[in-house]
Amino acid sequence: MTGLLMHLPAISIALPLFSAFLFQLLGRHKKAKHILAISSITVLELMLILQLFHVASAGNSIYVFGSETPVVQLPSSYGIPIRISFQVDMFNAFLSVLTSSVMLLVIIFSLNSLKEDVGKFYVILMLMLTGMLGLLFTNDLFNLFVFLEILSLSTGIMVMYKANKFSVEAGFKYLVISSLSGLLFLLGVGFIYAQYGMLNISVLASIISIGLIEKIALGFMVVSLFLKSGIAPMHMWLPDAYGEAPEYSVLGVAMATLTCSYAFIRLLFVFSVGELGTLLILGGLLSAIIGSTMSLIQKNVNRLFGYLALAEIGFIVTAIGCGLISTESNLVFSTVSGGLFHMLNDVIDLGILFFISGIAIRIKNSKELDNLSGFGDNKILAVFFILAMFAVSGIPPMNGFLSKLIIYESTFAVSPLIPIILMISSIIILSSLVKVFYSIFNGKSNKKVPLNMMVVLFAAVIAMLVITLFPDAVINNLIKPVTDALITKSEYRSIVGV
Amino acid sequence: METYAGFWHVEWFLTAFIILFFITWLIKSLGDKKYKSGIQEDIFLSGHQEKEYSDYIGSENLYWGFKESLRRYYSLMKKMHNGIISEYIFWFYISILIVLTFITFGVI
Repeated sequence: MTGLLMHLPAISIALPLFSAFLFQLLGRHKKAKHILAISSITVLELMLILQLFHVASAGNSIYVFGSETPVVQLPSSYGIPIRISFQVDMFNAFLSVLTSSVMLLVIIFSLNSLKEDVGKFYVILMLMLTGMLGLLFTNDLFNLFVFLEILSLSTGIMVMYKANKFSVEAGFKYLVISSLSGLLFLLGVGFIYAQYGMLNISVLASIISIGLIEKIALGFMVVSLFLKSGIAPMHMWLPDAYGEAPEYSVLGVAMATLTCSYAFIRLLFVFSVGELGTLLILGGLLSAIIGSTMSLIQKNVNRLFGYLALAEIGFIVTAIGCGLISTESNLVFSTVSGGLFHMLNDVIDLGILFFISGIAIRIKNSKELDNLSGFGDNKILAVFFILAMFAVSGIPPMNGFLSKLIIYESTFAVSPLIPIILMISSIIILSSLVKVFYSIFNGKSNKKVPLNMMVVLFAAVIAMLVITLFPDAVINNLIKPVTDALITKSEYRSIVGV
Repeated sequence: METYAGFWHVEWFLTAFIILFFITWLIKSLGDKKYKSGIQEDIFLSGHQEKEYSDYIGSENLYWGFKESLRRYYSLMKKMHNGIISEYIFWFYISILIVLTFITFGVI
């Protein structure tokens, strides 16, 4: 058991990567591919949960590739760690569980939507998962770039999966822009390497002194990651990509975008670059305004949800940015915990909306809002939509309201203007969702919803209700330790032992 | 749940919700018991009875007033989101320029 725990960070990357290759060996056995996909992600999910509990009880764990034992950090003849390492703390362990849960739900949801090329779909999904988990766990800047590129490439191909004129165009745009931003990230990494001669994040964090070069390097990395996270004003690719991605996997694409935001949050906190927090606030507020207002005029439901996701990422980034520039410890904790709590809520609440729109798109075979009507007789779906709509818009007593309340209160202490802008954005988000509700639940058509889709929807709604009814349990047992792991850098820095 | 400047108790909210729900139900039960839905809910346009509300007002017509009052903003936004990749890259360069300017002049 200890051996397994020790190797978990490496296994969690190897498992989806290995599964991706296995799909090619299964030929045309569609059922076997479904079973392989579900079983490998379920095993991965269990391992990541085990890892989360392990980190919660035993503290950060490190995995050094190529050394005699994974925990040895320094080869005897070197003064600095030259090997690639992974580091797992509560922050990335929590996000890894969230990521694999989303991917598991996406796979179950898409089961009967996949007709041809089942293997291709699962290969792309597994590569996305590899990219996301690698990005979360890595403790090396160049390695971070590599996993970012794996993630971007697989996400781009996922957007193109339907292989029609529009999806190929959207995927191509994403790939071009993403490659450009990847190069900018690499330039930032190059600056850091030229200055310090190393790329290990923990060691760099202990010795870095923030001057002009470091600020420029981190500025390049943050702008690059802003683009990959779809934060305004570099968000233009995002609605195009969400609008054309397959309706059953668009949540996976959204999760990939959110994972990219992990990278800049981690770097800015671990390197203590509070000054760049202003960038996060500006980008976050702009995203909230543009995302909410643009969602109001959309006709394609997935594009509309793409803009909503942009607005919601804006909330998270604004809160984290306020945490970065604040000096009072209570305020830092409150803003960052609000942002991270909202990240969890957002994935669940927007996930429910994506799933419901996915059901409507599959049955109606259209993404146009005016063609989606006919679900008025499905009371369960309507109730789920209303609950998720309230949650995303921050209406009490839903979980989205709880995280938004924390964000409003704590960002008010930074500047009263911030919560005002965010509240206006929330009101517009509600208006957009009322429009979607009006479109989908108008008229009756007696269409049956596939069982696998309903199972996924129920699972997500239960998660939403649990957080709504027991927020203290979630905050005390999950969000507080995760926030501590992010803002207390000492353990993340000291684990390498330099 | 403790927040930065206050607290939130979901039990209080649910209690208040149940009480208000009961009061609403009480008021509703005092109404006309013979009421049956019918012509009161139908749609008439210029005296003619119409079929379905959604046949005439699609979701894109909603919030017309709001969109009309923000016409300039939306026309600018539509120009920015035109789907042309070189313009998307332009915004990427603009963002880099802004960040570099901020950093060089010590704004951040």
